[in-house]
Amino acid sequence: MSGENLNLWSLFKKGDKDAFLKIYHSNYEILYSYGFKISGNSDLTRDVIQEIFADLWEKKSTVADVVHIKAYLLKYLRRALLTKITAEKKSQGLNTNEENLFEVSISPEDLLIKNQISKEQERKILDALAQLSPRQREIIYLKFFDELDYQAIQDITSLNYQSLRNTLHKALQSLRKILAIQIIFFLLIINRL
Amino acid sequence: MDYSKYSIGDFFMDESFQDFARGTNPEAIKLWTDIIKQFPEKEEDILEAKKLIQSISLNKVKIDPKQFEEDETKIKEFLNKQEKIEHKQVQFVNWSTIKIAASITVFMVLAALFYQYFSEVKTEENTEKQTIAFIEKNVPKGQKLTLFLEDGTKVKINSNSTLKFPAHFNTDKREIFLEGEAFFEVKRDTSRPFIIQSKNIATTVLGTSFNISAYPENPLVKVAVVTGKVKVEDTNNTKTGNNHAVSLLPEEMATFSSSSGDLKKSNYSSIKEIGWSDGIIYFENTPLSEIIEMLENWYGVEIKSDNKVNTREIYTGTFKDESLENVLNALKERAKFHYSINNSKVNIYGL
Repeated sequence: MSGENLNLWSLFKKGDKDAFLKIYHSNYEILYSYGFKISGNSDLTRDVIQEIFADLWEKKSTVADVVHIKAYLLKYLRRALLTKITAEKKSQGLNTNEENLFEVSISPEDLLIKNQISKEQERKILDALAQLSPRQREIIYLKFFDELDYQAIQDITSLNYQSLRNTLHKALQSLRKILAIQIIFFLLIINRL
Repeated sequence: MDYSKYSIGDFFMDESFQDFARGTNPEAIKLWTDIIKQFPEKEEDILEAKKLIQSISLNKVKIDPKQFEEDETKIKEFLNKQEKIEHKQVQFVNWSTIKIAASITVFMVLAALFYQYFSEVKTEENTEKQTIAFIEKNVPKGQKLTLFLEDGTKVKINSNSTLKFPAHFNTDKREIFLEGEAFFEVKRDTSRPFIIQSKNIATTVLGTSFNISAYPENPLVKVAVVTGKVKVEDTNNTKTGNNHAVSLLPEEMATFSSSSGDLKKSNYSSIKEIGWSDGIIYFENTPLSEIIEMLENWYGVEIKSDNKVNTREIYTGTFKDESLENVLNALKERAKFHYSINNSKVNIYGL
């Protein structure tokens, strides 16, 4: 896959519009989904996606060689959104600690097993996810939404391997605690999945 | 690995285990099903870790097509504006080996036109009791064709190739026949594997993208995988060894030699094997005789060379969306020839 990616990226760097549009097409959905999840703002996300692609095209001849295009773009988007949101919160005199900048809300529609579980179970899972820190939710989002590997998540979030594992592990502990009681019912129901 | 010491957390964190829990990767499913058999005492932990992962797995956000169209238009408008600013500089691909300055010929492929243009032959074949209507697409030299099958699979067929497929797929499998070369982007459908029969080789997938090259005149059949997982089988079982079948992952290629019956797995160069689907002609240390064959196929012409041309000399080069003249102009300096083009006949005279 990276062979193809490398080829696409080098074509884009040489000014190939088709290659550039192909990169745009194949990453738009994931970029929008992720951007919208972490910012909670659809218009802002769409604007920032346009900006980063315009930016890329203007800098095409000097931009780095990229193997994992998706992770590169997600990181780019994350940084751009962070800058915008920080500026906005500062102007409103709000806390701009990075940990609290992103909200990462997860709704019932997001759950893959929505149709296999009861409303009650659905509420419990969402509660459990809501009680995690925004950073934990973001990592869960990257890991279990887009199936990115640990290396890519490290690149995007700038966490090192150990803190990434620790964060995910802590998330797991709290999830288990919250879901412990109903996990038995749960087992019976989705065992057939 | 000793999984008897694995905790729920260890399972949860293991990337191959995550693939297993989400059921996205057949290899992971097989691996972990075996592990559960080997470590029955861990079954409960494994099930809990699996449920945890399933409970927090998320759907993709549905994007309104209108929103995407709007944003796409914006980025295209931006590109057009930029192009004017850049004074319409002609861009061309110049990979290291041969540098050619030339204008770009634009390939406009209109699927609708192709539909009428290419011969569409319906044949009937008896398979046991039921009759299946097959559609046959012949793509002549000098042409390429992109088409979508009933299930949404996209096939880009290279020059001088034939694809035969049923008007309606079966409920248990999607089977088609290829002679020549094509690039596939198979729509995922785990309940109906997609099978491509070419020469003695059957390629089976659930949903991926890959290239198959199986020209009758070439003794080698090549299957190169871009995404997903692909199984390649020698249907003749000519050899009694254990290489009737290989499994391929991205960046891997299977090469089947119809003369020796060998089925081998290796890595491949993406531009070399599937560059054609992006309009790229690529050759590396290739004798002129083979380059001439490639050009005949690509442009749909007949090329004759006189005996003063050394067709055994080897060359390396890359061309994207170039006209035949530009390719020949680049070659004639190095291979030392003159040429003349008369309709679809090309004559090459050595110096």
